[in-house]
Amino acid sequence: MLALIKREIEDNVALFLIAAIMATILVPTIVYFEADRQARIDSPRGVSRDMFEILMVLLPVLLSFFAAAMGATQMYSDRSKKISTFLSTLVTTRSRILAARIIAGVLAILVALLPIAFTAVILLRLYNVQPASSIYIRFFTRFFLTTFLSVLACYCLGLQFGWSTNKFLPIFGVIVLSPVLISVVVIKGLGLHTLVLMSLFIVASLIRVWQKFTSTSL
Amino acid sequence: MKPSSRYTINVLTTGLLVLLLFSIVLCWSRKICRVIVYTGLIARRTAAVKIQPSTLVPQLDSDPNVIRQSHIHAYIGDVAVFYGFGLLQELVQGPPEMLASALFYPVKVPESKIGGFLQGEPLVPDTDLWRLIYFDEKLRLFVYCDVSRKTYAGEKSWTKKINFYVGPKGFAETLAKPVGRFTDPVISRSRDGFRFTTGPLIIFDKKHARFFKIEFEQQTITKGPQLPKDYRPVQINGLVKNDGVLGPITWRCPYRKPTQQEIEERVEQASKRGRPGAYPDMPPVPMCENVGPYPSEKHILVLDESGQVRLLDVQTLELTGHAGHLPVPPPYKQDEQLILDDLFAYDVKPFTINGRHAGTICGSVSKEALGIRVLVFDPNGQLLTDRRSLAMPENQPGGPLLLTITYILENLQPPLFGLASYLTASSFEATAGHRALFILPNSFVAMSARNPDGQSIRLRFCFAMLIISPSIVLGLFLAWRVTRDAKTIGLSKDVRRYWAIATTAFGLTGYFTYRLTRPKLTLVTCVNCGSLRRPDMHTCHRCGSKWLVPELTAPPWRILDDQRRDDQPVQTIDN
Repeated sequence: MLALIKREIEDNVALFLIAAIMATILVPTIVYFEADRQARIDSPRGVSRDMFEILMVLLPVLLSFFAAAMGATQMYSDRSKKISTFLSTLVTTRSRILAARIIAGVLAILVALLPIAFTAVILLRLYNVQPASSIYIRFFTRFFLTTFLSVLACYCLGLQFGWSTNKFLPIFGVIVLSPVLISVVVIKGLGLHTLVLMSLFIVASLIRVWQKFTSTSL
Repeated sequence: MKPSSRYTINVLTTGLLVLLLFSIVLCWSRKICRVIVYTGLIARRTAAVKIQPSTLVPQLDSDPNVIRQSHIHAYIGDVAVFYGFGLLQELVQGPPEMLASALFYPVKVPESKIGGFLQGEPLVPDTDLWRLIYFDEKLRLFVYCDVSRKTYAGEKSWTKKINFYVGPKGFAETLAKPVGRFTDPVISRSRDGFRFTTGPLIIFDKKHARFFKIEFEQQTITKGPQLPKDYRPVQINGLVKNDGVLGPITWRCPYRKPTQQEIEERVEQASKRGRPGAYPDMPPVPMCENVGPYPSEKHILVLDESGQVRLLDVQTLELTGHAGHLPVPPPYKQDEQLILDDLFAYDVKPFTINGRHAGTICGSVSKEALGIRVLVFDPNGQLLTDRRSLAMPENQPGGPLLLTITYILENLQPPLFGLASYLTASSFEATAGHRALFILPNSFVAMSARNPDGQSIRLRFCFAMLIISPSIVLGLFLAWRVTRDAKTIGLSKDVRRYWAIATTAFGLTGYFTYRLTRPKLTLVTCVNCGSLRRPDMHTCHRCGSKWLVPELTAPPWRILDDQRRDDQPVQTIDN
């Protein structure tokens, strides 16, 4: 399994690099904005408005497109290059190949998301006294969980559209449906409803992808 | 896995995905219509109330010199649209954890030196000391502490020093001293939840069923009298839900003609400034000295879960009287029981003359944010004025078109959800209803269920069915198409029945699901009946004939290699 995951990462190393670059740009940006706020406004509580907007608007939009594109790329390159067809001749199953692919996808999302989440938590602890830091951390935990699930849902969408021989269907599907899916967060907010809807979408998508992937003739 | 199970799982998962994505698309389409209706036809226009004279200052309004009497103005504002988007609300208002619990209030010391606010934060402090008051949810105590900023080796950090803890029994410097515990207190707050002073904090504790007043500077805690156990205040001071939806409610003071003396003074001042003859027409003079919608010195307002507003004496912590009540907004009847969750927004404003309570203005907005009602009460809680307004977008230019589009969009939802919207019309909190994806508490069918106008249940149900009839007809039509197609491709009778039921119940969602999960087959012509038949089935699903397969009998001759040919006897075929 580890070999399969390693191979998935190697095959999609460019996407992992993009995720890392995204985190590398966003982390210093939010640190700058928060430090700047502290220098200008001397308050034991609060979050920089710029940091708030970057996290709440820019991050989910960027990550959802990235994740959807990654899912579509993984599946499309498999279908066109017949990677799983080749791997099936070795000692492995299609389910394991798909599992390794999904784990690699989740890892790529986490590469982008986790550094930003940790930075936000450290900044909140640094510049806020208790209980403000706890309250903000609770809020941002809810936010990062919602973002993670939304981005994962977009990734699953990409997986579904990527399993196609048509070159334009994955691109078209990802561009049109990712914003539709992520807009649930705009309507429902960062609450339990969004988490439930996204979880249902992820489970249904993964079952569908698994069925399609394992039943398509070699 | 069995093929039938695989097919069922595929249908269910595809159906769920289609339902979700299709509902989101429909939701956005409805939202666009709604935004146009609100911003173009309703907000500030049709749903507005103006009360003139305001009836709160009759002695001023009846002055013979009055040119314009006082008035109260309220309307449904554009902000109503914002509350239909969960994320926008969180972006605008900040973390709800902070707002809902009212846990955390930093107070700059001294307060007078705060030089203004930038994005809600005080600008350039004069001192590094802050006073922090918050309710610790784990300890169930209020904590009063000093926060200062210290610099070590160029690095700044905040240091918190807890001065004391406050419980129902008093103050304590350490947790060793028993001071009791508060349970789920309702904390008084200003209209802007973040503003706070070190002045008295008034709370209501549900377990103790009484009000408490905490004076942090004096280190005193005052207990109010015991109240009935079933008394449930919802808000203390700053009685507002979805701030800004109701305009806000404004009171404008009366204006009078300027006196001759005032005109002369004005002309004189103009001459002194080197502009003689300027300002020949003096504008009306406002009569608003110490009069207006300000908090009283002695009383604050308390709203309970039944919608009643009472006066709380700040000194004795007794509920001294009835100040008014929240109105049931149109289109609902006045005598209906008020449920706070059914109001999309409300706003209660105290009115004071020379610091004394002189009346209350209560306004509310209906669940669909179409109706507004404002009540004005005198100091004793007697109703003075009652005004209401119901937006009629259908009477506005472009309104019928927008409403028709909205109606069509609602009918593209599954008929099952239309029925569920009718049955659960009053079960959802008003603001949550504006963010609905599947069951629509603000749809036409749900509104018909909530607004019976004295009709019998049977009549109401028939009317609701009439409203959702387009979606039912569409569902039946699609079910017929699906059944016909399913028969063509040879799905079994049971499967066809399930598809018919599912498509009737889920409408377009069911149809899209069918199209996406339809078995992809190339049909061949049946030799027996001439219709198209499935090549993967044993018999023709139309005429039931079997495949006409030529009998596979081995030919009597063989081609054998040399060695085997020698072993085998040679067979001769006779002609």
